[in-house]
Amino acid sequence: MNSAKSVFGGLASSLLIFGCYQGIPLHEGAAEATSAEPSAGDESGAAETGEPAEVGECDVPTASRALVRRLSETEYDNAVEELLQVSMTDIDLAADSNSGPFATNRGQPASIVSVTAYMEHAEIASERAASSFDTLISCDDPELSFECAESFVASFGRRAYRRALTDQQSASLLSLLHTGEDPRDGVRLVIERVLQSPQFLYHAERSTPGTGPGSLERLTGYSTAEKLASFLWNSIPDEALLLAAENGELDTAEGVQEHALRMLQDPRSVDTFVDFFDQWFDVARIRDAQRDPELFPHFTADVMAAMHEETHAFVRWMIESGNFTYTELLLSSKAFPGEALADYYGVEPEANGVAIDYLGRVGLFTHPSFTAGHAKFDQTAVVGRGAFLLDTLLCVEFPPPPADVEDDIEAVDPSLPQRERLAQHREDPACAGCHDFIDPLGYGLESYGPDGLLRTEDELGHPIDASGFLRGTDQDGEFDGVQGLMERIAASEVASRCAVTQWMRFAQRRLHTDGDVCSIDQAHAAFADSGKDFGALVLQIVASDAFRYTDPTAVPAGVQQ
Amino acid sequence: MSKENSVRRPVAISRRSLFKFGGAAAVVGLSPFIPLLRSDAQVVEAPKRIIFMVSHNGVAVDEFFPDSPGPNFALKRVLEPLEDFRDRMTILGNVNMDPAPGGAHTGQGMLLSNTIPNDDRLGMGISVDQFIAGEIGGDTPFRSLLLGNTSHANGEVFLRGPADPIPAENNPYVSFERIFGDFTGDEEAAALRARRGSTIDSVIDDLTSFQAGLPTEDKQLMELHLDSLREIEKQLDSDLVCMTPEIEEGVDYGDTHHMPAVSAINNQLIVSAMRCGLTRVGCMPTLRPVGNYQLTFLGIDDGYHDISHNAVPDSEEKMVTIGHWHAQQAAALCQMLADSPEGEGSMLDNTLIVYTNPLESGSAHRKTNLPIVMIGGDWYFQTGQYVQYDGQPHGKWLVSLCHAMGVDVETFGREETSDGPLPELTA
Repeated sequence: MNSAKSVFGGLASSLLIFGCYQGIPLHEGAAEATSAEPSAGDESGAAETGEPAEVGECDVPTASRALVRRLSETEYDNAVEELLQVSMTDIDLAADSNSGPFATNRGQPASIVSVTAYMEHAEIASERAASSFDTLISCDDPELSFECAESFVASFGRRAYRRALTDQQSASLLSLLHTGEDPRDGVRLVIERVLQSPQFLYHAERSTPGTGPGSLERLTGYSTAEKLASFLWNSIPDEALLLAAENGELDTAEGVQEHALRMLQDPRSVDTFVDFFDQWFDVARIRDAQRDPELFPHFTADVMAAMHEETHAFVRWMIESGNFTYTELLLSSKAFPGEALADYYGVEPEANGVAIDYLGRVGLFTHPSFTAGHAKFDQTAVVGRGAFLLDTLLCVEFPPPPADVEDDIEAVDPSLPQRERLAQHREDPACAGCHDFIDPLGYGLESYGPDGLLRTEDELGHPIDASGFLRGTDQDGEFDGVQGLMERIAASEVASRCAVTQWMRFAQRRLHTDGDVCSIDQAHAAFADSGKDFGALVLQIVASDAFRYTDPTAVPAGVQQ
Repeated sequence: MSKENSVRRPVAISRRSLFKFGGAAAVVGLSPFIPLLRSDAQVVEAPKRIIFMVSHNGVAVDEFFPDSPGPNFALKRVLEPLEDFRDRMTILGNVNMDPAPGGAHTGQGMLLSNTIPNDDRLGMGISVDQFIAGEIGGDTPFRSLLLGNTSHANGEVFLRGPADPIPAENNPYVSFERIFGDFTGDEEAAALRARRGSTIDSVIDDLTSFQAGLPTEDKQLMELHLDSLREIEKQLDSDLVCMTPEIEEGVDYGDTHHMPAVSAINNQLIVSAMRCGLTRVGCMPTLRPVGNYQLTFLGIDDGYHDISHNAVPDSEEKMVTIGHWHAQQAAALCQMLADSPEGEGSMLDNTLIVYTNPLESGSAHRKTNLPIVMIGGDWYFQTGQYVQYDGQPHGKWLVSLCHAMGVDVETFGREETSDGPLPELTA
């Protein structure tokens, strides 16, 4: 992995810019000028009382309310690894439920299948940890003693529950420890229980009354710490973050940003953002691709896995090379074939993770993980690609086809190019309403075949026509090929606001509601001013009202009124 | 379950002697049928059971429904594998799930709940399988079992409550361990049970303190977690001892290519579990809505969803092939039940198998003629007939299912579309 210092090294200075930037509202001034800051330090408290918000009509701070959620499988695995130094990635929990593209388990009841899996996981984690208790539990005694075990239980419980244990919790865990046949068995019992406790499995956003303007309440330090750890590390807080929560350092926007900045120096944040893009763009779907082996004999399972890895390598490179921007995402000429894909691309092998400039590479959506991930057995998927771009990059949601539409396009001459078959399909006004948006976007990627490689002829031998039309944005217009398409999207405010919205969803592990709109607008303004830098966006999000406050009077997303 | 009941059950065989979990690929004597067991007819009347098999993406309508209604119907190509059970079948025609507001892919949440799905396409009420399970499954360790036949099978049809789908367990070996691991009667299993029971007690204490101070909606979610814990407690409390089925080992359940093998194992699991009294309700989903899987084991390379939309050559014929395979799985299950003696007959005499799909035609997302086939349930249904309705709402069919299982309800889900059972069905 990268050296810790290099990751987001440049952001320390951008944080300073934030602090004095006119017009990029940290906005907390408005929120907290009117509220008491009982636990905040004097300096940060003074820094908070600044300019009022200048964006839109967001003069009055707003926030949402979130239902409880359970850790995602990735968060669970990472947490157990940090707590017990054992890997659980080889065993599956029940499937996560998503908010938009992101695994969140927000507001989703735990089924018997989930709870059974938690039970089994806790037992297996405990069994695996037991084999290394000698290193996991520091003990001066020659044999693991109850005294050493007690001290482990105290720190393990605090870390797993992400907060200081109450006296009652402490007593209960220690008493359980002593019901064990010996200290080892006792620790195992404690692990089995703690990993099934809601205190470990759930996030509840707890807040302190009287800490916000109007009906808002600031999240407790512990809840903010949990959110930060989920957003930036896909895991649970470390001891430093728990201490910061207890010292009131997370009660101010600046304090939260400072800790976020520290966390961004940690390699866990790179892994987490790789996961973010993986989920946002459903990159893993390439692993389920099935291609005609006669047409594409080299398209093997190993190649598909390497395609998935290539996109991960690209995201890592963006972060670590300081090119972590929206423009780079959409227009980068870099490819990362590594050793596994070099043959496939017909290039000289390079070490894994080394960037090369590669003909036809125009950002993430020309990666085979996308172009081959969105293709059929023996042909490209014009509609699939176009619809996916609209949905994930532009946040345009189309209704599903009307229930009474007959979409029998078999009648269309199968020897025609897809473009002409789809054009006939769109003659039906019931189809055209949506497909006029979808199909012309998909045409832009026609130069990338079902195998993800550049091509000059389509499946039937017709020359490629990659001209199309972007609709529904502030950058509408014609383009010829993917470069023109991606340049339009890269310049579009609609698209960058969509990106901000997706980051906000991931940060909060939930869908956004009306209460988040101001924070999204403000984050979007800061994002635009930073040259669409994702690192700057992250720091803006963690300081936002939506991230740090809750509105107990709001109706949570997903709750029927 | 009382001790008296359980001792009448088949004698235990340690699962470890039959099945080496995670072992090498050697196949232990692969028997598709569970062992013939000592008849317990003299001792106890067998309970009634119900099994739901649900596929997705619609059916090949023209080859699914018989040409003419009545008792002398001829099965067409899709349902042909069920020919041996023609006399025990009830096929329903023109049962209407339209209008289904919310667009194309909402049928799965509506199918068994008769509720309008939310924006996430989740049904907004309990599904009939879980409702029946709550009524008749109370004294069984598993209120219901949900077994998927690929890693892609999904349980969005089966709901514990509003927007609360129950995930299917898609790993047959995990299912095997969960269903039979605790019921082998050996000492190791008993010790594990005791340990689990006491841990769950502490976890319930933790849950109580965790939800203090949370808003009502959160408390409701925590209550559902508590329900799940109580369900597990019930499993731990049972003193049933069961014979375990011999299942094929080493099947890569994540690969759609192995769906037939997983399907065969799941059939064994559900029949064995029911035989032993572990559950009375089975839910067996196939794939998932809109899933575009290539069912290469049927010689079909195109995606299933593309096929259902007539988007590839010979789509209709491929839909027939896929539907025919689904019918084969239902037939295999029926045969296994018929081969398992119970009382003076077989388990099939006490089991109702429901085969359905949330769409009629995948292409148009039409639901005016819902595919519904029932096998068994002779104690309630006048079997051996194809009943053609005139657009009766499908909620009435759900009421009929409740009545068949001895559950007395007047409506199910939306009252206006489930006013009483379907006519012409009862014996």
